[in-house]
Amino acid sequence: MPCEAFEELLNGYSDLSAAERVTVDAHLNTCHDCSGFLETLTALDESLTALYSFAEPQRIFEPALVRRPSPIPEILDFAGWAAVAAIVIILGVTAAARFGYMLPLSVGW
Amino acid sequence: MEDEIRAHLEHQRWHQAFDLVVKHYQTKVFHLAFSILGNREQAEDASQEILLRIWRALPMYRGASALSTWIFSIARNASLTALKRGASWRTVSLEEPGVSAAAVVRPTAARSLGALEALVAELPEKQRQVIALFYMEGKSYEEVARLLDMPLGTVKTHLFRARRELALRWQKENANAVRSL
Repeated sequence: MPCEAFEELLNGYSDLSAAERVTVDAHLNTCHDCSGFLETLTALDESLTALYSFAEPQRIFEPALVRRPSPIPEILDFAGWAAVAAIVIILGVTAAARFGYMLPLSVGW
Repeated sequence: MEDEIRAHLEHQRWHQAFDLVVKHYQTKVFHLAFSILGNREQAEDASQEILLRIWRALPMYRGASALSTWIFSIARNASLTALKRGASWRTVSLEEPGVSAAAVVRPTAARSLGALEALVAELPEKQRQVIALFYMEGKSYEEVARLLDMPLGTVKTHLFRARRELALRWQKENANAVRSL
């Protein structure tokens, strides 16, 4: 176990200021427990770096595979159907007028 | 880059926006998923699911928060859901060719990375997540805080406790190993 007063300093050894480093190093020269703890922390740091250095995804996230179907089916459905309905009505009215389906009404007048 | 993605979103260029999201965030999404799930295969599956969720949710992004914040929030929630579904934190050898424990561990009784991974798996959940992300993200406290949506001070506290606990357990195991020789 490291000395309680130095434990936090040892844990953040690489971030110590120059003044703190002098104090800690002086203590390390006389304390076997703390120097052993620092050695363990240093080795631990290297091993954790190695342990997690793999951490790139091996599989490629191919956008084409995950972007189907469209992200906006609801919006497009509503807008799409509204547009289709409008076109059908316009075409219907135009065709009726063009081919005289409105004629009987006119004749009645 | 985030501005570029936002511009695509504003003009409803979903595919272009999503291509950039994948390009710039897939590794961080994977890191986040791995830190929560602790298993590479499950993290990759979760990452695919997360990206799919992001794709479906793109039209709903209103820009109230930073895009990265929004993406990481989806990633965290999906990973936690996967964890609750039964993909519990477990240790599986990473089996990375060429990584030898003896090459990087100096203490007398060299520990395998698998043993170290087992020690990490025994840590409390938040400590596990922080320590995995810290080393995956190039030892950046700020990045860990951003990914986990956690105050910087909290990240440092978790990291301090995790490293302390690991070091003490490691010392203890090494002492036992030496005694048993």
